[in-house]
Amino acid sequence: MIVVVVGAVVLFKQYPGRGPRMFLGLILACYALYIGYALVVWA
Amino acid sequence: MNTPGHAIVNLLILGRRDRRSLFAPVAFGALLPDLPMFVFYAYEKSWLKTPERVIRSEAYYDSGWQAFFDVFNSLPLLALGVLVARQLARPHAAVLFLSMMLHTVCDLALHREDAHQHFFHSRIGAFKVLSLTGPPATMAVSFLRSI
Repeated sequence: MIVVVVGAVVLFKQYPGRGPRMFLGLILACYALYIGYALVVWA
Repeated sequence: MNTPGHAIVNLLILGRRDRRSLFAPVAFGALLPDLPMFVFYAYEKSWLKTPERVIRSEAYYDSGWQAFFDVFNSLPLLALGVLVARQLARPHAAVLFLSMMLHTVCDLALHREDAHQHFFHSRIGAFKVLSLTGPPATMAVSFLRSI
């Protein structure tokens, strides 16, 4: 998961276009939800 | 690995900063092998109103649905797609098929009970990746038996 999140951030910086950034932003949002949900369940 | 994870890994491996037009085929190719499962789930859940438990334990393993999934995860068929796209001088289509192949190769090592037939429509089409996760000797015997 760490590799994917770091990779998404790296790609986000590499691709300045609106389309790629929306796509990568969506993926990062998905992971933020995963992590948030995991933290809530863990707590 | 989940579907967004495949997209990131494929973009990191196949994406090229100097060729930004490859972003879309690589990203779409990374998602495409899992797309039939979203179609399956949406159809079973919304159209047929199949209960969640039945979807996960029975409907998913239906031979018709499995064949539908396997077409999008078949390495021989995807390799054929790459060759045809190259012959027709369609580089973006070739990259899309390559991205699908990379997704499938990643799945090959990471799935067990829910594995697809990655050699669908080939001589070793019956080979399920289920046996690929055992000890090396067992894997080799299972593979040879399947040919």
